[in-house]
Amino acid sequence: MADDNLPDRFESIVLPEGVKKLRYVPDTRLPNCASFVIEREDHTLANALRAQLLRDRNVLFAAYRVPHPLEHHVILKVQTRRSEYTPLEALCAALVALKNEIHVLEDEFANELQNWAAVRKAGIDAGNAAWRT
Amino acid sequence: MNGVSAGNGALAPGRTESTESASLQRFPKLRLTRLAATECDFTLSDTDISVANALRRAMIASVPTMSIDLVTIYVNDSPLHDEFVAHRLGLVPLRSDTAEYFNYNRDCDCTQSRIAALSGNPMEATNCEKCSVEYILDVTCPPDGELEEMNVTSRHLQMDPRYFDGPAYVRAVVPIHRPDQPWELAPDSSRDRTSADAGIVICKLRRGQRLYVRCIAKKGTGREHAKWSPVAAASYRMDPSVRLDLGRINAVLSSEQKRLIVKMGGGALRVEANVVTGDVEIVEDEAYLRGRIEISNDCLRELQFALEEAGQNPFQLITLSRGSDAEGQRTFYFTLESTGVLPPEAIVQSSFRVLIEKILSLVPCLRDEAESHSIALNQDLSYLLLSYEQRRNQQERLQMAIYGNLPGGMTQTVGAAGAFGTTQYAGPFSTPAIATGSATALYAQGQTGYTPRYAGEAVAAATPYAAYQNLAAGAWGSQDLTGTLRTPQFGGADAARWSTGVTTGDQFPISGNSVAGAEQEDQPPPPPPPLPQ
Repeated sequence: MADDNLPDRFESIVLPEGVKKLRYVPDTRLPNCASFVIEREDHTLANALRAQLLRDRNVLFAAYRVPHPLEHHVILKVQTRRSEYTPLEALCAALVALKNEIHVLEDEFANELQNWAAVRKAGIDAGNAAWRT
Repeated sequence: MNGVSAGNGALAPGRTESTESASLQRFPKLRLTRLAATECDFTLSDTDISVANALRRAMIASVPTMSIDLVTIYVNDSPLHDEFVAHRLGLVPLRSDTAEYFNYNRDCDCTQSRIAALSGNPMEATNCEKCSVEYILDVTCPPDGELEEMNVTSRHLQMDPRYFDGPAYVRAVVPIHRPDQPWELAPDSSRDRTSADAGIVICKLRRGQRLYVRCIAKKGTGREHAKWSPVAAASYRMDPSVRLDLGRINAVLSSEQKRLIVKMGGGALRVEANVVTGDVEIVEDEAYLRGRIEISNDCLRELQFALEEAGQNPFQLITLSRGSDAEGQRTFYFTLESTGVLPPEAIVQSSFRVLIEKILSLVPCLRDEAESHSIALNQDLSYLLLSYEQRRNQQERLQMAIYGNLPGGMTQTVGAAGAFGTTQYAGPFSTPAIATGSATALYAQGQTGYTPRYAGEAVAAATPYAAYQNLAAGAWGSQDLTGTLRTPQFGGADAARWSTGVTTGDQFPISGNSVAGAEQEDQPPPPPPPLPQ
């Protein structure tokens, strides 16, 4: 068969048994610096996390890369400015901020749906609805 | 950049660390500007491109839907070869409002299911009603009919009766013949086959040819294969980042040049006659100013050349701005077009949920890594860990609500009165395509003539689509929601109501059927359901 060595399609999604979702690899050459190997994730999460980390004033450097299209992990490298503020903490703060941000969006969207339904119910033409401003 | 030694000095004066971490939180705004049956536009602002892109990518590739994944071909006389037919079947959209209730096939323990028990060999079951839906496609172009050739369409896909009698969330997975198809619980395909809305063509058959396949639909995401992607288009645009100093440009250029530039602008610019001077002037179109249209590179290039010809420095009159404030925040205009498998608002909500799950999946590992490297985390992770656990248990709780806490799942449930023997088969509809009268033909016939015994009852209100109807009626907030489930249509209360649609039991006497699959090794056609006399 031509596709004998075809990898399973779900390999890019399913975390294999015994593999850690997140690995912390301290950098031996730079102070306050570490890489995070995030398994089975791609640009979707990594880029958002990187952007959140860069908004943190205590983070000196944050970047990610996807090493190879057939390796389903990303490497996120973080360096902080102070030794009291570890990269792990920076990542944690970024995760919390991102999660809260999406929760805000979720609520906003639910509100909008409610507004939309109310407007539609009231028979107001959606094109020039007052709530749209 | 400051070196590492810069320490606190690198911080802006007057900003302490505590406010630093608090300021990471943003409050993005989201405005819905259009919501149709299959399309939706919304505007995202006060956030940066990473969030917008994560949202877009999640909508395309991470929202779980149902799609035909495994096709067994028994008879294929059609001009298309087997793989071709299988591929086309995979691309048929299936209504996926209820995908949340399914397991992924790879995670599912199918040996414990009702379907497995029915098959007679439960240990070998590879799919079940908790993780899949089966369809039968058996179409023959009658050899002596008046039809020279016929189309096999998505309307010929019949749900396997074993699944059709399963829980309501399985029954809800029906083919979508067109994206704005109204919600039907059990569309009777034999009725409107002649109507203009003919469904999605899978292949064509000439006189006497037959196509007989069984399809297994599974849950998946667009990451795995594009057929699981619920969106036909998901994209965003940003505010224009080109600013033109039109006052000076108009003063410099000739009216021919202006007309040419406006023509190349693709709608972003207009010409207007200046009543004072009698000359034409370039003005920016409102749609452009509002970010609905982008100005083309060709237009800018032409403008640059024209300005250079006129002896002006074009870079003083054309400003390329970042279109964003200092924080990189800007406005994103999203356009979302669903294939019809999910309402657009459900796609957006599902993508939010997917993103949060992605974030939360990192948290337990984050804690473990902090412990194993003995790094003290000043932040309190308990809140995140708790929500991670809640999310992880969600699927389990949904299934608990439907199947109950019994080890055998549905096989143990006490069924309702409607057994196969009392069901009205062979109704007024007889499929003209089936003339042979074989067991499989009757199988399909029984399916088309099947009177849906749940129609018009409470089950109709228990489908998740009903949640959207409630939404339209303004009852969104009044639903009884559990705290952890943030999206109403998949709420715990809904799940409980769903279980009311579940009826099994003595329709399928397990003991009687346990021998049915024993001698089926080499016989491709599936065991037909017990037929009434």
